[in-house]
Amino acid sequence: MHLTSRAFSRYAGLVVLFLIMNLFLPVPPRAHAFGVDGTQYHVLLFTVLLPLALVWCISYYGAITLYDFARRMEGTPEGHGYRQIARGCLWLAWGFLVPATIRQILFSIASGHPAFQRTAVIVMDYVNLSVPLVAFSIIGTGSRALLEQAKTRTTVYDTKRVVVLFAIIGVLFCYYTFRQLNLHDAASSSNVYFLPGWALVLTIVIPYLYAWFIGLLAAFEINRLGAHARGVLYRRAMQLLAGGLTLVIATSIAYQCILTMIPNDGKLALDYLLLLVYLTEIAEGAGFILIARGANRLKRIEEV
Amino acid sequence: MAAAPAGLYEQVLRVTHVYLGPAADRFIARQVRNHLHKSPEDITKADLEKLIDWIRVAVALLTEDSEIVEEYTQQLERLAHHDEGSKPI
Repeated sequence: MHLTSRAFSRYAGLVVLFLIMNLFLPVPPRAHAFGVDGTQYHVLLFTVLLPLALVWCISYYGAITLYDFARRMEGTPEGHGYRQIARGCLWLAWGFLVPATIRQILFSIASGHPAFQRTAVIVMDYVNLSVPLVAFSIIGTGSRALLEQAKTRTTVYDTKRVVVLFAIIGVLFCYYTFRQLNLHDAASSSNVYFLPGWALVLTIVIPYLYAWFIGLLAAFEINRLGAHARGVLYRRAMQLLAGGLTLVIATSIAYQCILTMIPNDGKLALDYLLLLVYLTEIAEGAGFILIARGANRLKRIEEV
Repeated sequence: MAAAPAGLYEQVLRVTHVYLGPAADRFIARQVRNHLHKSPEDITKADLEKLIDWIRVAVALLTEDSEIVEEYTQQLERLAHHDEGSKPI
């Protein structure tokens, strides 16, 4: 069985297990306060998670298609760069399923043991942080390698745009995050993050800002590669790949901003937060579709 | 059989590079090895017509834009019909 099919089947199987797991999670006591019994709660949860699960599968398909192409490029000058970008995309794709699984388990425990709520929130903050921190670092290494191999570099104009965009995102993120804190007592952990202000800044805010800067830079570099790739047919394929990667990075940053600025305490959100999550994840899925199309075209160029 | 003009392989690569960019050398090497069963650097003018036919088929699989396919193969055909002793294209 082809690598892509095998890997995708495994991932889809795990997603199905995740959905089944949610049908057996204990019902939070507060659900009964809304007149929702166990069956209704599980049906509601399944209905909310199913579209997301489909997006995760599509995203993984895009990532594994790119990885398959990168494997074929081993030994070529561009091989290392593509492989790093593919690994980063795989990390992002797994970054849907794994944190969601951990989240459901932790907050299920917390709903029965309220003292565990604090631990659950803190663990999830760091689990969510690890995804962009690792993924964007790897993608950034790959994009830089491809840029150097193509003897191209980002312009001063590109750099300025990255800085401006990063400044806007960073300021908004910090504003909405610090609103949740008691700024008169930086050592207090009596906030929605259950972390003292200084720990939140040093271990959550700064790493996120670093990851997003690396991600934005990588997006600009990849776009530059797509725009200046040589060869009419090669450039068309690269532009699909570059467009997809840019969309994935941008929506991933938006999703992480939402997760952090609007702290999730494990409750099933059925308001604008769910809508925002759907929009960003669907957009990210669309990005992975473009990645798959670009990777397939590049693969065909290397095969015919 | 006519001796290969100096740099025929390089000339073919140069034309291919316009369409396939960094994948040009791998593409031409694949076509020559798989269909002509020789080393890419050893191609001669006599091989070029057959090579162009295979390239036409391969590129048609990569794009539905027939204009690009025609443009590319015409550039290669100019190489094939270019007189010996003339300046390279």
